[in-house]
Amino acid sequence: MKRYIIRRFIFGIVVVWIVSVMIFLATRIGPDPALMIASPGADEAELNSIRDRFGLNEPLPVQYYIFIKKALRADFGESIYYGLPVADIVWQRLPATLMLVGTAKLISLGFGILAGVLAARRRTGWTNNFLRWFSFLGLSMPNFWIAMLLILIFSVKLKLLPTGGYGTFWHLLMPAFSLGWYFSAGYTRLTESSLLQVLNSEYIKLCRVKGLTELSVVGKHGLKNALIPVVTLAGMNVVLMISGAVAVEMVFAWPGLGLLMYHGAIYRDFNVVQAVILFISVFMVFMNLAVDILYAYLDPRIRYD
Amino acid sequence: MEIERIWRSRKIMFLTLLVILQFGSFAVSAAPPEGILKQAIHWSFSSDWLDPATGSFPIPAYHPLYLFHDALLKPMPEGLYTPSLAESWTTSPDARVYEFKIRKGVKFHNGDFLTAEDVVFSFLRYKGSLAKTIHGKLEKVEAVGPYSVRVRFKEPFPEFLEFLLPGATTFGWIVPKKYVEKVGDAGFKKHPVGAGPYKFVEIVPGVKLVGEAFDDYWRKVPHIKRMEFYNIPEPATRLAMVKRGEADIATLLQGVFYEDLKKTPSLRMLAPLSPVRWIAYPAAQWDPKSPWADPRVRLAASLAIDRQTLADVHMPGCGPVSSIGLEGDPMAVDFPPYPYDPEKAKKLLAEAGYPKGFSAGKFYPYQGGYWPYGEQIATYWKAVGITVETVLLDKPALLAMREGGKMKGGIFIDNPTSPTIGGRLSTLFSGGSYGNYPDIQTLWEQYRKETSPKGRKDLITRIQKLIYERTMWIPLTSTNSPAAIGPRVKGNPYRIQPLIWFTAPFEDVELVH
Repeated sequence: MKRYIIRRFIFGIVVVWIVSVMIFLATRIGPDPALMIASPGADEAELNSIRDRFGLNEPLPVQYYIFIKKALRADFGESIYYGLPVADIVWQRLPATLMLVGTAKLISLGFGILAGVLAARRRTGWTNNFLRWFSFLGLSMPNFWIAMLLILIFSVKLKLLPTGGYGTFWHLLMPAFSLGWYFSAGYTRLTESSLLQVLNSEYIKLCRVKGLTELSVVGKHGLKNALIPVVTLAGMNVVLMISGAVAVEMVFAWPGLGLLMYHGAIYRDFNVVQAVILFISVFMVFMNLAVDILYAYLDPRIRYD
Repeated sequence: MEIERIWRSRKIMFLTLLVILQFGSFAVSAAPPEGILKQAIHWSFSSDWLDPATGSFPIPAYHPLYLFHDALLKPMPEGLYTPSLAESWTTSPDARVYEFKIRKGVKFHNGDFLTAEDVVFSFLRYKGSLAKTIHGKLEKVEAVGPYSVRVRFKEPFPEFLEFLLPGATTFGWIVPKKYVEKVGDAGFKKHPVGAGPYKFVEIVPGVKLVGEAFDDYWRKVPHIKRMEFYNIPEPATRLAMVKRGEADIATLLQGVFYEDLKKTPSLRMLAPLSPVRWIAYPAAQWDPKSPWADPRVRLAASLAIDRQTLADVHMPGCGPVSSIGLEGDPMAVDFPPYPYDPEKAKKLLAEAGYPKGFSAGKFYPYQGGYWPYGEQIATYWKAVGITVETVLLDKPALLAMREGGKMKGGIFIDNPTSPTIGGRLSTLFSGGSYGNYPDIQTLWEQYRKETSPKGRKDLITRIQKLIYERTMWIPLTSTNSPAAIGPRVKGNPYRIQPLIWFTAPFEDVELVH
């Protein structure tokens, strides 16, 4: 196991390095970012001054070397648009994204697992139909569309929840639900199928023969094994959630990394885009490693050599 | 007895005088600021915009400047060159020396009083847009007294005051010398101090900006205690916030949101004009072999466009324009708008040798949200036989192509945004120019050197007439920025149109009590 972790760690560093090269090149393919922030009709002297400020006049390999050297010290340069250190802006926005993704994860897992258990236990009837349709809707509708519908219903018509922004639990509800609904659908289906499989196994029959309550059979003995694939999926989905948060953060003006990346893209603020994508890729690598380790812990049959 | 009577009457007079003075002081002092105004705005704030000396300044960047800072002169409801921190100024006949008389008693937010030293410091500190141009021309800046500043240029600089306007530079916006020297540039950007109507409270770049009323603002005490601006990128969310009362003003609501706003009786719609004047610029006219080189073809293209319908569909509240000058610009000339006459357009094309029309090359409408505007123009042209190949580019790609001279042989929609006609013509004739007529270029060069105001007015009028007569470019419509105004906001808070399309002057904005 130790060797496996070390191997995965080294592999993760290689992946992050490849991502850094790709994002560096991708952000420099586009038009000159100096044009985006210069005054209209700016002369070449002014454009050059902007380019000098951000090191854009250096050859690409030199720019990359400077970028990587600084990145290793968590210094991602200055935001071309905001005029502040990128690291400061990212750290400022990170808690909001973690809060949103964390809450969305709780909602999606909580609802998804509960719904999956219900669906597995009641194979027919209105409960099962409702859960199927609810999952289907969550998978079909884009999250920004869900976000707008929620605003229309709960903010504008019913005036129950704040429209956008950040600050209280009530600000968090709609964005987290918009983000989490899609993922809960996946957890519902996976929990249902996985639990059905587990409930057919011999050890479950033995539990029932021994006279254990149904709650104990399903909740204690069945779910523990049924949730293994769900845990794996949940771990991988964290990264998808962070990238999926862009549209949700934009609709709700939720001040997280997604909104920051959106602004970075439209203002050609490549320092910001690089930093956010690098952060997500590092997070993804370590999240995947953590999921694998957790997987081995949950299922003793799994061993990494 | 007599003495007692006299003393009594004098006591009464004295007491009466005291009461009058007291009442007078109550009448003169303004009510303290109160209330909070929240705006959901479509643009994102940069920390660079908090310091007038740094960065480049598109028009939205003047928002924090009008909020926290003040300038020697700036556009106000009274006019384009309204004296602010400078009470008055003089220009030498050769336009090399400018002297500014600084207003006395002006305080910065930290309590420091404004003096000529702060002005000199701010001028010399400036490193923003066109800094190299201005500092290159500058010979000397000096305080000639505590409230007088003299600026001397190496050569005549008749456009200097135009350079101080929004859209040109922020050279004339003044910061407190002692404070900046104490905290440094980085510290100043974190917590700016200015002489504007509001004190800086907080900025979260890309998220919000907050200011609190400065009771000692020289012009007047602001009505509203606290102003909060939230960057809300999605127009549906901005509109929802105003409907729900979470914001008092939501900016830039176009298309379906504008239609929805019209159906919401609790909200008002105001559409402040913006300084943008769209033109279709046939860069292909400089190729003698191109049909666009014929002025009849350019006139035909102009007559083919129904500008009023174009405005009604895409810029409700706007209308046709005949030049790129703004209202209020004393040097801009207004011409009769080109009528919508597709039949005459076809005749002109036939006279020019294109009775069946022609293939007119690539057409580049302006960025993203304005593509439908450009596509409608292409449709008008197609109706008279001018067929274009529309190329849709987003803003950075468009700017890169335009500035890189890669739109030769095509037509593009342009929007010179300098504050004055001189600045706009400079954008189109200088650096990024695709070409010019020799006689117009000669007049332009004369204009650049001319120092007498009458002479400059005469030259620039002649230039504008020639441009109009030759349809050198095709003026389209004015533009605006429709906003939803909530019931708490009194009157029209947009008072410096069209150059400033946010709610300025901020100290004038009022809430309904």
